[in-house]
Amino acid sequence: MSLRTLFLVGLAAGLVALGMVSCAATPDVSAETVILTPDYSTFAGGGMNLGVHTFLEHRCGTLDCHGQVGRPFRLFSQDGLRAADSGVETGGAADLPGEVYANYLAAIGLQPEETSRVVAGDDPVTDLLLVAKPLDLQVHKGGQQISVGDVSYDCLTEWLTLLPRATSTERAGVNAKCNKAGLIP
Amino acid sequence: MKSLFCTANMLVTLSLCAIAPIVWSCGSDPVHDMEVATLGDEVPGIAPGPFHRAGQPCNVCHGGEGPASTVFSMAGTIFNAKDTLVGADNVQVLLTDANKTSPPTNPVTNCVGNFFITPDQWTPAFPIIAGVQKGNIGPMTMLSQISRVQSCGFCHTLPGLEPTTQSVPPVYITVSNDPNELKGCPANPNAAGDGGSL
Repeated sequence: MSLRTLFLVGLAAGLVALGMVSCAATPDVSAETVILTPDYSTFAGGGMNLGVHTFLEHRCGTLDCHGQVGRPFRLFSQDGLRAADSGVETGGAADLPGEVYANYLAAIGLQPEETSRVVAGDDPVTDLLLVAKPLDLQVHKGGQQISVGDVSYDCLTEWLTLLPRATSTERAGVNAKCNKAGLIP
Repeated sequence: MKSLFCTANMLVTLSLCAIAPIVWSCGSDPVHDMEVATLGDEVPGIAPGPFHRAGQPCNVCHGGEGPASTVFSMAGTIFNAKDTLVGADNVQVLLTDANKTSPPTNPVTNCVGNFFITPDQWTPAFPIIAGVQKGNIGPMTMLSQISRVQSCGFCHTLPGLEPTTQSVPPVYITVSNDPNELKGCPANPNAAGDGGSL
């Protein structure tokens, strides 16, 4: 094959590729991806309720695990990592509202689309790293932290499938389990 | 023929150049090397052994990646007051793992406050609940679990006696050491003094 033929073939391939790209639809700037998120008030607790965050902080957020600046699923807590420039120190004041909200974002932001599908009931909770890792279904440096059927598992998984429009009775059921889970250890 | 020889030579050289960085990179973990280097040199007069480097995260070197040959399953230092860095001796370290097992005998701190357990004595399943006790003082249990790190000094960092946003002060139990016993201590139990790691 001569150099001239090679050049012509390359040019033709380039033109075809350019044509295919130009055929793509114009991006729709108004398009939105709806993400369903689990209930924040049950996560944050308050009043007599410890919330999901307390259990996650105790079991996952210690300074030697997810309570570290460089870790994925980073968690802030009273006895663990504190928010920088917050004026509070490890072992000091109770969780700040901003720290609790950051923990919520860490939990749902780990796999936003998958979290949405789990909240919608389309996928099982074990599809989430947030559940599969502490169950040791996926490689987890911290090993198994919860077991199917214990209060920690129930607190986490029932919260994930508790829609914002859940009834007060349904919320109370999840809160009761998270109150028990939050006391461990 | 000469051209073939040159090509072969070039191929050998290129192969060596490609393999050399791989061989070199297999020899060490730069992150681990940096952690070891951060701990600094030994304090003059205190040889590596049970009394050295009080307060430091023991398992940086004793975790299996070296340079220490002895591996610990748990190790650390207990100090004798909140506002000093003097090691507390004869403190029992109480440990219970996820399987509700504990070491056959509780590890006890030496005169600089150091303690350690080797895997043949106890290989814990994380998480671990830890506490300290000396005589009728305690037991005092740590508020949070140990999730995966085998050195107290990883979270309870030196230097400093004040907490930060990502560390807590060294572990302490409010006691006074037996002065008679300290006379025989091969290292100064004050980590901030000439025997210590600061």
